Amino acid sequence: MIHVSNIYYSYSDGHEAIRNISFSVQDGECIGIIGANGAGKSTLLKLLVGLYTPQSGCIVIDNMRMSKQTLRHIRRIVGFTFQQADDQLFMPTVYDDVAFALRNDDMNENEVKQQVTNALKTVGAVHLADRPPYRLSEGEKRLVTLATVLAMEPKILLMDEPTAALDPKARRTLIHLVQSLPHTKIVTTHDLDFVFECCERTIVLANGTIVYDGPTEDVLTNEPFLREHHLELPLMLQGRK
Amino acid sequence: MIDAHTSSTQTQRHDVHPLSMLIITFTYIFVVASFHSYAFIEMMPLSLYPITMIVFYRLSVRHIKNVLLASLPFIIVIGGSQLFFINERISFLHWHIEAGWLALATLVVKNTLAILAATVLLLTTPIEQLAGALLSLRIPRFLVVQLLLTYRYIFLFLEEAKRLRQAYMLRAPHHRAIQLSVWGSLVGHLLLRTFERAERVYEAMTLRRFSIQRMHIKIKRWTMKEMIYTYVTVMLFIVYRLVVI
Repeated sequence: MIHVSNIYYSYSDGHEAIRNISFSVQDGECIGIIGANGAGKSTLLKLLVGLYTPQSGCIVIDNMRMSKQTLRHIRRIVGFTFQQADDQLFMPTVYDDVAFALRNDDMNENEVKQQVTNALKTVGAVHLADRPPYRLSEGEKRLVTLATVLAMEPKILLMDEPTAALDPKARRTLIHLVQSLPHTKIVTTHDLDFVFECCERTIVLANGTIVYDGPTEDVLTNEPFLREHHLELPLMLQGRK
Repeated sequence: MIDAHTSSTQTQRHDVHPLSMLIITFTYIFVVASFHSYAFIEMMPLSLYPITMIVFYRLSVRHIKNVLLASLPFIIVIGGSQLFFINERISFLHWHIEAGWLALATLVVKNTLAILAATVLLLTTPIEQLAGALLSLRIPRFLVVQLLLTYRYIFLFLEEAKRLRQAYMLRAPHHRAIQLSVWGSLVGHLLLRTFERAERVYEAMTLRRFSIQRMHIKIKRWTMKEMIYTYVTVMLFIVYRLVVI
């Protein structure tokens, strides 16, 4: 589904955010990307959706090599939720926000209504349809951002720190939702318990390179390795002292 | 600040066609602006329109007052120049007064009426519906989309400015206002932060297949009843202007 080969990316100030990263993702996998602040997690996601272009290396998604010509097709099958939900919600009502991409495709209003309702039903936010997005709680905003992406019926979901700033109940709702979605998923997060529960495979980034790529359980129980990379055991695995 | 939510809920209560609102408001502003420099008394009846709208739509007087107060310094500075350039005395009602003062007062009234009409328009009609109205007037699509994006940028800008101000005030509780020495740095930060935020919003839009040509802007049908309403109101303004010279 996704093949990333030897990509490099530097910001305009010269900071090398991604250095020689390669990995593949199979259809239906759920992968957690973890690492310290500034390790390159968000940059990697933005490269996968074509918001940034790697200086070298290549990204192939659904058998299409990413380029200016294929970007539109790739963005049809990849849905991306931003770290800050407010950046993604800009229309006057939740309904309009979820309908935004569909209307850009010139879909007729009946079909738009059908797909918007389905997407809102999936995330359990039908009752928010007429609310203005900026008045929602952080948990509700997260659900709506996911609905805006699900309405586009993508095959792959990329989520940038989806549980940040959520209260325990909203976080639990999101975990159940992510577990129930059949899509191929890549999630960057500092919430290691979320990774432990939702992702069967984990990639650990440090200074823009991959230092681990394998089963989640193996890495999240390896305390010395986690500590070496500014991480710690998931809370559920930490014994009470 | 004009609140988009306030605007949309009020419109749900009284559904007036955005094109009617747009044409009436522009005609009104044009008529107000066309009066001569000393038409202080002649313009008074024109205040009926915004006042009626404010009462009819039950608009927030606090919002409108804030907008008017924000515009006042600009118009007083501009109008103040009349005091230096006009040196004659004219008769006003039963008195002989400095013409400059009357010109200044007239300018303030013109400004107040125009701002009131524009604020009523923005508070009663969501910007997306106004965009649809502009498109139906054959305004080029790229200009209309620019207007929509600029409108959104203003809210991002104000939001960031509010956060910066709060952060400043929390660390300088004894200051009543932001000190002049930090204005440069604050404004610089504000611009950079809003540019970055606007860029992220734009990225989110492009990921959801946004393009100027394909952006969905709903154009509502203009009914005969709405056309007649618009025509009658516009004619009232024009006739009043032609009668009162």
